[in-house]
Amino acid sequence: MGTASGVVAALVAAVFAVLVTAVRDQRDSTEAARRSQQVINAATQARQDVIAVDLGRRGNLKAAPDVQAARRELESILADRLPPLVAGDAAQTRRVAALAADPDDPARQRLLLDDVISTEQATVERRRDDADAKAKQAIALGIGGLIGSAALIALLTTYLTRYIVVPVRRTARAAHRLAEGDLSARVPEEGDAEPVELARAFNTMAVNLQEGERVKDEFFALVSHELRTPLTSIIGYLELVLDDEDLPEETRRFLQVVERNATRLLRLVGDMLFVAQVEAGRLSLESTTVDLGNIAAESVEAARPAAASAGVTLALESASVRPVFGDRDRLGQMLDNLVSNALKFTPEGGRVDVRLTDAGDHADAEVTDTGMGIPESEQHHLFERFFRSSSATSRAVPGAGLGLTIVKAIAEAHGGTVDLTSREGSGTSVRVSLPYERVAAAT
Amino acid sequence: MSEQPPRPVVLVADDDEDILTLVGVRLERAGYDVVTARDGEQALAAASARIPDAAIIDVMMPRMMGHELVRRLRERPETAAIPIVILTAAAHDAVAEASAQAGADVHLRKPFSPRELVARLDALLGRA
Repeated sequence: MGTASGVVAALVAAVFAVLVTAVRDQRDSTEAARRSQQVINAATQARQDVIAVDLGRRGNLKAAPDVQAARRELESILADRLPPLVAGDAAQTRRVAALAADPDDPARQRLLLDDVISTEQATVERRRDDADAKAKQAIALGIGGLIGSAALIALLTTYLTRYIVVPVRRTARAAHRLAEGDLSARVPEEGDAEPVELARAFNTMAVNLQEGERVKDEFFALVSHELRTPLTSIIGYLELVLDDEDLPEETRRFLQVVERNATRLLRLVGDMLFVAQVEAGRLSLESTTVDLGNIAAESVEAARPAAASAGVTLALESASVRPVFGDRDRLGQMLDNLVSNALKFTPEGGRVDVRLTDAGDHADAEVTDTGMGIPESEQHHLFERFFRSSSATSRAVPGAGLGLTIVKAIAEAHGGTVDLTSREGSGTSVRVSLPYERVAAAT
Repeated sequence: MSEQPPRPVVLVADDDEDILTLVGVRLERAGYDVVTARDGEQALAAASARIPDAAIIDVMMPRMMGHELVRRLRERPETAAIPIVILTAAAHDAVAEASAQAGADVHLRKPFSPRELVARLDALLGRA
């Protein structure tokens, strides 16, 4: 990859060098042609002067002004003009020197000047041919080089696309999938060295994430499992002890506190296990035809003592809804969670309403409270496991932050949806919609 | 008191001493005779020494897992038809399925209420 772009760069540079050389050659040859022309002009002028001087000498007109002028001009040409012009050419310099040495032999001078002129003409011809040939060569080389560069660039682009752009794009897509929670996202380790390195790093990261998630689920299940056995003993023995009718009243009260807390712990463990099961995709429903009205009534009845001791009015408003196909225990657990949540967050004197309505193709179960509400910024986190609203933590409302996670999991396992609306300070309403005809996808 | 029918014998197998005692006390109070075992092999030996009328078996036990014990008991003619309750702390539904396949009648998840356990056993044995 690095080599390929190096070759392209070298090729382009070579094309430029050839073209620059050709231009310089052309300029040099123009310059030389101009100087040769000057030599030819000067020599031609000198030849005329030689003839004029010779004629003047034969006609005894030596003193005539134009003959004098011709002689002076001839001397100046031979002494000043020609020598610098032919300075680079040894043969021509020798001829010019011979001309200056023999001023009184016009015939020889004419011959020498003819030599100078013809030699210079030949030089011009040769130089022109040379320059032409070089220009042609340069053009050919330039065109060839450009075609070669273009081809290499095309190759390079194809290569870049195929081995860099495409693999990088693939990794980017996988990263998006991973970000959306698909931990099985992997990238084929193909392409150039860097994309392969990127893909490898991505795959390693994804494997680690997945492994971490698996370890977490296992840990979750193991902890819950290890907690259940001792809790079975605690609650079982309490049951045995509390069976004793002769128990002193104070001891009984204390043991009841122990029992209540053990039960609470047990419920938490159950919730954790439940969530672990859902996350591992192992939630199974024992579905039958169930009457939501009955389930709602049971949940409300079960919550009556808690509502009474909290000083909250708890009311059930149940329209007749068609039976749904679902897991009776799970649906009960879902409504229990909703009602106990509502009670927990409603201050004394408030009210919690459970409303069951028929909404055509689905039944709506809605639990509304006049509690403290949930800040809007926290609402979209509510269904995440272990999330606890700031109002819950600041007022030390007990809970592990699993209630709504469980509600959502159960609703969705039944093909339903959960909607939450809340206004801080005035209350919260959670509505679960359960379809009468469950779609096949839900298990 | 002399008119009482013979007390049914229940084999209880669990490696957790506390659970074993808890279930034992509960059952004895409910009028059962209890034979305890801390692992599968012990349970098989105990079942040979005194044929139980019912068995309560934990899934996770050393030496022989609960399901294997259930299968072995079902292979013996004298325990082929007795009611068997399986106890487990596992949450997976697969464990419940395995219990049914091995031949258990009831699959109870820990934590269970001892009272409920007795009630289930009473029902299985047709006791009031």
